[in-house]
Amino acid sequence: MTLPPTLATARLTLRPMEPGDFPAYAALMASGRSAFMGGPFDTRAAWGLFCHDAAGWALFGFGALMVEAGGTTVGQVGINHGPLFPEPELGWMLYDGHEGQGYATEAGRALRDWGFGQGLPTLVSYMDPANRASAAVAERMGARLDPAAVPQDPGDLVYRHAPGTAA
Amino acid sequence: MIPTLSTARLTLRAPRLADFEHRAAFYASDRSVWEDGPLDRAQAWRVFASDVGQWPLMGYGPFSVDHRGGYVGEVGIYHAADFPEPELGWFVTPEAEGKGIAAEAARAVMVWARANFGWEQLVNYIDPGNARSIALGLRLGGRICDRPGACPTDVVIEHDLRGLA
Repeated sequence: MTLPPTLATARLTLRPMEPGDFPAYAALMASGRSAFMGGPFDTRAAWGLFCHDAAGWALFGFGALMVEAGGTTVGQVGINHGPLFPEPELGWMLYDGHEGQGYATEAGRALRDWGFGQGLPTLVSYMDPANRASAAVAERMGARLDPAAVPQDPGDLVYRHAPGTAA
Repeated sequence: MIPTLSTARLTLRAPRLADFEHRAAFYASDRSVWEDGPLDRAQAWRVFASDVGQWPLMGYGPFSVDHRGGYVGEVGIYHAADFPEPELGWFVTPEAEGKGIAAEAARAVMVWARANFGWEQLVNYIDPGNARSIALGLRLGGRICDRPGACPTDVVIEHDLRGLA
């Protein structure tokens, strides 16, 4: 098992997940904000997803980290993999009230660069075409649509990340 | 970190991606009927990954079990959101059944849990139709008790860890 790192950016701290993060995570998964992730999810399903996000550290050497701004947990960023993903995927979510400040972009860049630094050969983001806010984050990170990539679900957009892509 | 435990015949080690194929086969079969199965591959992955994800979060979880260098099952501590407390659980491949492998691995996990966490008891949650697993729980020295289960119909078997380690 790889121990999850703690990464610092200008405004954010990306830190390992803890059981105490679950209530806020479950609240998001129970809300309309999880619609693009296949939600809403009840507590049992949310716990499964929460553990699934952490499992990458045991199975692959990468996984999800919680994102903190000024000591407040504002969301999560993670690299997902496994049989359900054609390629390693960079994903992000922000808790209610923390959007619009560039946190997802800043956290996503940090984990992307860490991932490529660990030797990840490729990194993509799978996206529901209606999820414009998340597509804008991918574009701000410098990712580009890759129409040739295999989508996770039919109809998904696939954004391809490159190491150190400028804003 | 995920420890490696050794018994007379077995090695209990960190789960690996390749171990998932055995769990997927189990969930695709009728053997999984007592474990909310059958499940398709995507559902089976979610169960496997969420079990393994307990390790970085809680410091306990499922061990994959090797016998003579080959995978024979999974035994460890499971703690889903709707479990009142951590649960001792086991799974062996069809080829490994009837050899005492689950019992041998479960004893090692109980000793490890006692030594690491100081727990006094550890429970099994078992579907009342799963006679084989109930028999194993009792053979390990457990007693059927009235503690709450993961669901109301579960048979709950309590193991006293206080004499261990």
